[in-house]
Amino acid sequence: MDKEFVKALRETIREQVIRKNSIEIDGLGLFEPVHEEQREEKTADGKVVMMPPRDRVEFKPVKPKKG
Amino acid sequence: MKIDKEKLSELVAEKSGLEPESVAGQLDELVERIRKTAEKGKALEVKGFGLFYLNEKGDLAFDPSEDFATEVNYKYAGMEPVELRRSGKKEPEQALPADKSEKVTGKPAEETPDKETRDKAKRPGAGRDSGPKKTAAAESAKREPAAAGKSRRKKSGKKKERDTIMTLVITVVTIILLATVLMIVMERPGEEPPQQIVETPAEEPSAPVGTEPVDVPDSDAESARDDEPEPAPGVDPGSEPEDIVLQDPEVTERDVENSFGLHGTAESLDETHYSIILHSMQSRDRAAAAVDELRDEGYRAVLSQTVHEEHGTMWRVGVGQFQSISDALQAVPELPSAYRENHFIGRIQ
Repeated sequence: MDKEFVKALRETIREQVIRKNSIEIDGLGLFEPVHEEQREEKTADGKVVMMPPRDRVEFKPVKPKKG
Repeated sequence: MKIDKEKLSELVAEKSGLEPESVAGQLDELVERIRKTAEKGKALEVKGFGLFYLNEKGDLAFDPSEDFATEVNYKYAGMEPVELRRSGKKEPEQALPADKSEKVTGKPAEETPDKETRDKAKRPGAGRDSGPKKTAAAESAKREPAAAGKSRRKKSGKKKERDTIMTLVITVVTIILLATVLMIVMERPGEEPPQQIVETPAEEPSAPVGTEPVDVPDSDAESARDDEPEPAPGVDPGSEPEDIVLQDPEVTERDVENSFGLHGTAESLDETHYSIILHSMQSRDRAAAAVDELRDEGYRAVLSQTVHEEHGTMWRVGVGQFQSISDALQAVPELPSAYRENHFIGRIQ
């Protein structure tokens, strides 16, 4: 497997997720951008904190075809 | 928009300069390798991207690497949870009287002793320092010598009192100064980037040299596990992830010292890098003027163009060139105070 290929794949997926595009790879799954709004959370010691917003990538696998 | 495998192959081919057929083939190979590794109960790590493994349900799972997660979340990088005040019911009970309530933010410790010392200073000094009073004391001494002796004794007593007060005043002023310096020093660490980002592990030193993907030795595999706070539940604990190691070109390594940092001359680099974006303007001229101004101040100012969905072409004014978001965040405290809270980290091609 080419080093340049893996590097370009990683960068391409990152760029597309940042642009809010999902990437579906047959046989593997779906990389999906998820935006979380800021929210209040209570910590274990009782403090109430405002969590900042967050962009993250979620992976949903595809079930391999049986047969 | 959804990017399918075909489109992804095209984009990767475009980026890497490889043939689209070759890219499609390597993508299939990677998918197969991820699947087979996961089925064996092992995890496969793609350096700088993430870890693939089977979770406890037997489904393929992916944990993005810290670097990848930070890059995806670049808009909010550096933002930390903010502690909120507890419910408003308790506040009035704890609140100070009306005249002092405004000083709750940390000044009362300074204000109270200051006032007291001022009052103390005024009280004993009030009858001595003014000229007319001295004259009056002299006159009374002339009239009543015995009384003058008493007055001298009183004066020496007052002198001692005054010295004590002066010492007190100096002590209080010193304490206030020290408290102010401490407050300034304490504020700085708060502006530092979150620990998670600072601790981004250096990839390059541990990566073996070579153009082919190489399996990383045991020690690296262990460190890869350390990056993931929750180990893959479906993975056999004895197994070690198979890694695909990437290395950035040596050119970047050599250029690091002179090409990156907050101060210096902006250079055109082959690799993508980050900058601290201070302004985003529609007018190129205004943006260029801002860049010139920052360059005059010694900053490595960078002008870049981006296309905004609503506003069209925007010109970004950034300072510094950094290899990673973590590096950029570490330079933020060095920015002029006006920009420390008003910026974001952007990727510049």
